[in-house]
Amino acid sequence: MKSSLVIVGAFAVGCVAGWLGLLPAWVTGRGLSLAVLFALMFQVGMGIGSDERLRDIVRTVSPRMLLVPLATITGTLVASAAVALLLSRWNVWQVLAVGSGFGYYSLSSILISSVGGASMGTQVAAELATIALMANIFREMFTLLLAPLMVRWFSPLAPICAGGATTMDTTLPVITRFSGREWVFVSIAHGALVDFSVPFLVPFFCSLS
Amino acid sequence: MIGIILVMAAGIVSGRLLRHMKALRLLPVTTMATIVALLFVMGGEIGGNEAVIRGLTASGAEALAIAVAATAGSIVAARAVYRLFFVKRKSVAGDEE
Repeated sequence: MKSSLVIVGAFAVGCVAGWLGLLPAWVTGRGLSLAVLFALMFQVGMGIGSDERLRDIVRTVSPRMLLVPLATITGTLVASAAVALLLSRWNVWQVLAVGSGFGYYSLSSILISSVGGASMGTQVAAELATIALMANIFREMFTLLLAPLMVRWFSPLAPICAGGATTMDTTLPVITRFSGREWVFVSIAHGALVDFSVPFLVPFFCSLS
Repeated sequence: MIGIILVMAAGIVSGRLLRHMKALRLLPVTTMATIVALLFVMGGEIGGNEAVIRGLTASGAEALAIAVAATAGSIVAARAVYRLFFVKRKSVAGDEE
């Protein structure tokens, strides 16, 4: 939760600085954010590759286990497509691009603003990226705050599916606490697989919009 | 898009090869610092963008609607998968022992 606050804080400070016109053009240009994005993806990869639990995680992946990330992805995409009917400003692919962030707000919003520009224009992509950032932060917060109720009403798998790509790090503590320790590896493997789908699905839906 | 995935794959391979290096313990810190830097730069792009700032209230409501739908959809699917595939067996958490 604390790190989410730091991230939201950095974004807010950046917004204010940009709004006041305090930032030089080389900071706000496309080039820098793309370079930092590549640095981030490399580190995310290194984190997965160097994780000592990697072997245990791979071992937990049974066919039945794969149904959990599949449920997350299917449930999210179907519901996002449904809500797209209510949002007049955005088409279904744009809403699906936001939904397929699966709580990974930093990456999904950056992907939309950097990759989405080509198909929907820089302006629209920037706006959609802001929505992706907020929507995916909300999703993480819902999981952190409502995990106990989700377990009670919808099964121990519910906070795992709700947490989406965050279940291998930020929401893992609440999942362990409320779903039970026996779900830890399912949660980590689920997080890793859903995480891995984000850089595929978000640009894919962006390209369709 | 391909570039992003290749960079991540290169990261996974180098992470695996270098996993015993002590410096890797700093990875969560450097990753966090990179995320913060990225969000700051993104904030700068968005804050400098008049039209986005004007539409912020509407965007917030839309973001909330998508978040509620996405979360609800996934927990309903979670319950279905749990009931159909997990509940009848004694062992849970994906191991068959």
